[in-house]
Amino acid sequence: MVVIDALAIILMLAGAAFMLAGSIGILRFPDVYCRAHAATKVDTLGIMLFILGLAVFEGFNLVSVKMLLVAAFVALTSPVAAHALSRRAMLHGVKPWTRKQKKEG
Amino acid sequence: MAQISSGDRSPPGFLVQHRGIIIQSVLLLALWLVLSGRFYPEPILYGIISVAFVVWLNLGVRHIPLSSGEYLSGHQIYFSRLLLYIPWLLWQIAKSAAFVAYLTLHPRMPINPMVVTFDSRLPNPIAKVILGNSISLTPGTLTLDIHKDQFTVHAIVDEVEEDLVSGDMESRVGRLYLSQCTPQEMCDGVCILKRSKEIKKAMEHQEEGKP
Amino acid sequence: MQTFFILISAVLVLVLLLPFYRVLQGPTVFDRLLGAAAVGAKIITLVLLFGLVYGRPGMFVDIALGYAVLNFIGVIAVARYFRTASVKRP
Repeated sequence: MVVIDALAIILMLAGAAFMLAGSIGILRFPDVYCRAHAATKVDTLGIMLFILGLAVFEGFNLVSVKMLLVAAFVALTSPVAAHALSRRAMLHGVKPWTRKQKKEG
Repeated sequence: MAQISSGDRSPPGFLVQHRGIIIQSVLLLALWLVLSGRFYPEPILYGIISVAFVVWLNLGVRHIPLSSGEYLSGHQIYFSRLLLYIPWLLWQIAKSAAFVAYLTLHPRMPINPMVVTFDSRLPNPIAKVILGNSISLTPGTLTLDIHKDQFTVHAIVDEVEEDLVSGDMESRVGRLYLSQCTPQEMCDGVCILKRSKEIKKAMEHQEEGKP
Repeated sequence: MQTFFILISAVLVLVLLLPFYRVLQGPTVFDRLLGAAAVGAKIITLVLLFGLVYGRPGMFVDIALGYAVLNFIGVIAVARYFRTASVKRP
């Protein structure tokens, strides 16, 4: 029981750390496309780890299966949402930030 | 978990002919059972009725072409290879999240974003969707657009671009549908777009309802 | 375990405030939307956590599933909407 609790706590802490990194990425990156990178990958892994930790704590029953379903849904939909947003931003003429522009300006 | 091949028997059996419908209804019924959580006859009966209704609604969708003129139905995926592909994708997600988290927390933020287009030779729209999602989830790349065979990808540092155009992932996705394919033949026409006008032009072709 | 849940939900609320800054300050409307989607994704985990804190995870997991679906549909709907709407340049 102690081992399971410890595993759940480790997974949840790792998930929270990845979510923190993703949020800092959304704050720090220079344009909407780089922010989409942070929101897609780092946040998705953070949420998956966190929900996995919750499911480990819950044990194997219907509720934990539903929790894993939520995690799978988030992993499937977050790239699609980021793709939709960044594509629309590009078609509306939001310019991608590049290293060169920064040197000039 | 072997793939049901239609080549063994001369008339395709019932199972082979309606493979998509059977898989769809089994998955929907499993979803119903998990979400309802009651295993008595009465809720299961309601579940069967609603699954039948949803499958009936989806029958028509399979015969409507997409805007590119392709059809969603009639493609057979190798389930055994899909089962091997998912753990690989999870590993890629872990790697890419660690990579982008490192970029985020680095004090000087060593990023150098660029936009890359390439052509891929995947056989059907579902494979393209899988590849697009996989590109978004693998290190440092984000799918901006898919049109016909052309993928437009935003890469956050320039090192990942070599990884992308090597065709490794394309061949992995292609192997879900084709019996065999090599990385070399799946990916060509790589082009790095520098100016935002070019990028916009590369993506604008299918927009019919401009403001 | 109960105290750990409450502590980590406090941490999550603090983490959630970071993309909220992007929602308020984002130079373009797409930055705001991305921030909103990130906030929603964190709220999913927060709802699941509250389910364990209150001892009724069976109810809250359904709410979390609904929230995940709504979060996704909302982003897609707004992205569809900007197909014809014009965007004020920053």
